[in-house]
Amino acid sequence: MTAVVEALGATKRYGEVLGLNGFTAQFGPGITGLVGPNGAGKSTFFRLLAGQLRPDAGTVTMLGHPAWGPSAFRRRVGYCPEHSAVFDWMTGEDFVTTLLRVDGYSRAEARERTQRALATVDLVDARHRRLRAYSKGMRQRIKIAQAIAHDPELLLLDEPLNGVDPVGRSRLLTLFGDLARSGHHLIVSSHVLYEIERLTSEIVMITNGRALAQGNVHQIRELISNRPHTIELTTSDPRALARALSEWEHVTAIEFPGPGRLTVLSRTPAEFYQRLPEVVVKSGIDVTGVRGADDNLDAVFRYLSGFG
Amino acid sequence: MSIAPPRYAAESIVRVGRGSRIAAIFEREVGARAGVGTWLVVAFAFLSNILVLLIRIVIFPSEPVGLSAFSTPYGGTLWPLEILLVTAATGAGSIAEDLASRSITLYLSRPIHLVDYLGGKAAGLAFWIGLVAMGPGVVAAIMAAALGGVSASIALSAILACVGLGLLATAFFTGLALALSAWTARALYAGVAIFGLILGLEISVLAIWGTTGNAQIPYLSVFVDLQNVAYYVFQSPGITSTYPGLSAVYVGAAGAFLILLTWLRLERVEVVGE
Amino acid sequence: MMSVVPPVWTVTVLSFRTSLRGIRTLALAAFAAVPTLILLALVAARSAPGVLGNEAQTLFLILTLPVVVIVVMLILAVAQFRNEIDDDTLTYLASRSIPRGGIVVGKYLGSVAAASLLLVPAALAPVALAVAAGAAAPPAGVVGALVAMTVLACVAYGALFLLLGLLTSWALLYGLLLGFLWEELLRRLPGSVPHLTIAFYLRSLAADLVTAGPLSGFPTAVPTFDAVAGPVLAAVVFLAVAVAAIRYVELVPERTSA
Repeated sequence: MTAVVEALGATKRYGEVLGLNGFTAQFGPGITGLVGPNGAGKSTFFRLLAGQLRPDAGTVTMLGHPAWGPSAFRRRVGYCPEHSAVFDWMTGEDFVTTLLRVDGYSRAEARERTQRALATVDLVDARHRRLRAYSKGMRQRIKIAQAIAHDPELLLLDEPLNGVDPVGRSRLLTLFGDLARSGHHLIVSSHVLYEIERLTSEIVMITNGRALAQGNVHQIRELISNRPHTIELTTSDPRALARALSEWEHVTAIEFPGPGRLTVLSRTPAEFYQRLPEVVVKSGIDVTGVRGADDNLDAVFRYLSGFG
Repeated sequence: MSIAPPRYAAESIVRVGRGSRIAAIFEREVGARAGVGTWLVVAFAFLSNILVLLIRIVIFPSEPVGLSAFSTPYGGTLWPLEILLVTAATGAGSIAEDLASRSITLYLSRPIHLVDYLGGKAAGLAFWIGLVAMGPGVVAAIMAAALGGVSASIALSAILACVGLGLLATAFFTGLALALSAWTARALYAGVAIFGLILGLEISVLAIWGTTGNAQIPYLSVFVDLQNVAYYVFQSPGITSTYPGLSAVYVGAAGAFLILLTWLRLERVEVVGE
Repeated sequence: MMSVVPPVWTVTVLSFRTSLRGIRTLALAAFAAVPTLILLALVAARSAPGVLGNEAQTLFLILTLPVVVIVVMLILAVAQFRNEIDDDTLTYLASRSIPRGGIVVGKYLGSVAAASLLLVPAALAPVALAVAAGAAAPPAGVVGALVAMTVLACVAYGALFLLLGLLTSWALLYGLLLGFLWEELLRRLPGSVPHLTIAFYLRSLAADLVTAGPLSGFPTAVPTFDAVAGPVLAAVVFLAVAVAAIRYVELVPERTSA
């Protein structure tokens, strides 16, 4: 995989506090989620990518260029910062147009691109309003508008859904998916894991300034061998099914969370799923639902970070 | 079988008095203003004024060395400029930073009055401004007495005079800093405004006085008023105005007016989020 | 390679617009009008026309140049970077393809243009008022000298304070020390020491351009070319340092969470 963004041992100190601590990760094509709790180093990493901070050690490269250095390549990069500060006195249209002109677009082209970007984030009606009158969600959308207006190859989105209402979130998540499908690369950070899961299964996990894991979330889950997988079953006769399953060596525990439900902990879920139909057919027990309860980002993150 | 919910009784909250709450704001303000720049200004003020006084009183004394010798720093522009500098360095961000960070809403959401908040802030600022206004003179008087340059009674009189003059200057400049700091969320603007307004006022008064010769005009100059009071309390010849009492009243009243202005401003300020 | 001029021009216009908006501009304009108000007071006090004419020029030397220009430039120039770094809005410019040095140049040009727009009329207004009140037309070169001194002061002080705003969060204190203490104290020392101040060259320029009146009285004037070159060279040096420094300065507020 050719990395679009690569960090090699990136370290950033704020006095005695380590914002990033030898952070090494590769971000490939498509959408990659950067997940971690508050204070993990996500925004520090984004600021390194945006060229606002210089790494104290290590390197950070984007599209083959060092993030701290000449800025000509930044025409191919769009950045949506986490904070909500904007030029309060400007109108939304003015804000996006001005930044496009700073990128070197002519007045006419900047206006045209601004209209398209505002339409994409549904802010056309509010384009003549001053940014100080924008709600938090509108500010978030105008920041995204200025990030996408110049059609960048790479988008850096730091907590892009902060403060956005549920309908807006859904629209933005759809937009991000469309951008990825049309060939753009996105790095999206969030501490809200289910949002990232909706977007992508390619993640980089960060905590305490270090990379915890990276790759496909399901593959990562497979690698966490010290945590048996939790599988939830819905059945007409939990106890009978439990008796049958308890003979399997890879089943480490069975719980009865409620009527008609069974929770099984298995060290080898692949084998479990393979043999389950055989048990169902032999015993004649109805099994109406099977779900891997912890084959998800939240569980992976909790297991790896020790927060769960 | 019956189940009764547990009874919870909130412990009665023992609140400390208003004085303690103001003291908390005062301590915070003193600590917050204790930056490197502040200490540099304070150090410069102490060194320069003590040096000037010791040279005048101990090293190269002219006979006789009386109370009037202690007026040396206060007759020029260095002392008021040093106060102006410490006022700008410490006072510019006093309320402005609370407005910018919106922490003023945290203060005022506590069980305190606006006057408590202002009182704590004013006391904190007055600490630093008073340190520059009074400190060098007091220390120099003690050193001069210890070195035998003046008698203990003259040194005591000098200390009282320094404290009196210093309190007057502190009252005005504290009010000025609070008033300007309350009008903006940017410490930069408040700091420059402190300098600009006072220097602009001083030069304007001198220009108009020089042209018109009107004897009432100098009372508008803070520096001239403080000089008048200094010459009076140190019993120094060279009084530029006949009524030092009037000068003291003007400066004190201006300081009180500025604090009132601050209170009126804060009563009406709206701290609006996004 | 795309020209860097249009983006720099955009930053210049942005800086100009940022500098001249809101209550801050009204307050600065009101402050800049103080010399005019003083002259108005003198007119109201029925001062002699000859006195008014001289007072208008004297006010420029004792108030406009050493106080008003410094205050206005300190606020406008320091704010270019310091306010935007503190507000975290500089990220939008810094994350674009414009070279960082271009941001410095654009902000400098915008702030100097805005300051000149405020200060040149403020410098000329007392003289115009004096003439309107019956004073004789000012001697030859006075108007040109006032404009030149004001613009050169904006050029030189603007670069200095812009550099301070970029480098340190203590820009206010250092700006006050340099603008009020350094400039005023060193200017009065003997020998070549005053050559280290911008004010020395500005006053020399007046003495070179004006043949009579308060502006002509600077005792140790240098040739006109030197009087102009001094502030311009100072501005070029400060600006060059700023352009070099921004490549190494981290453009984030002092408190940043991870």
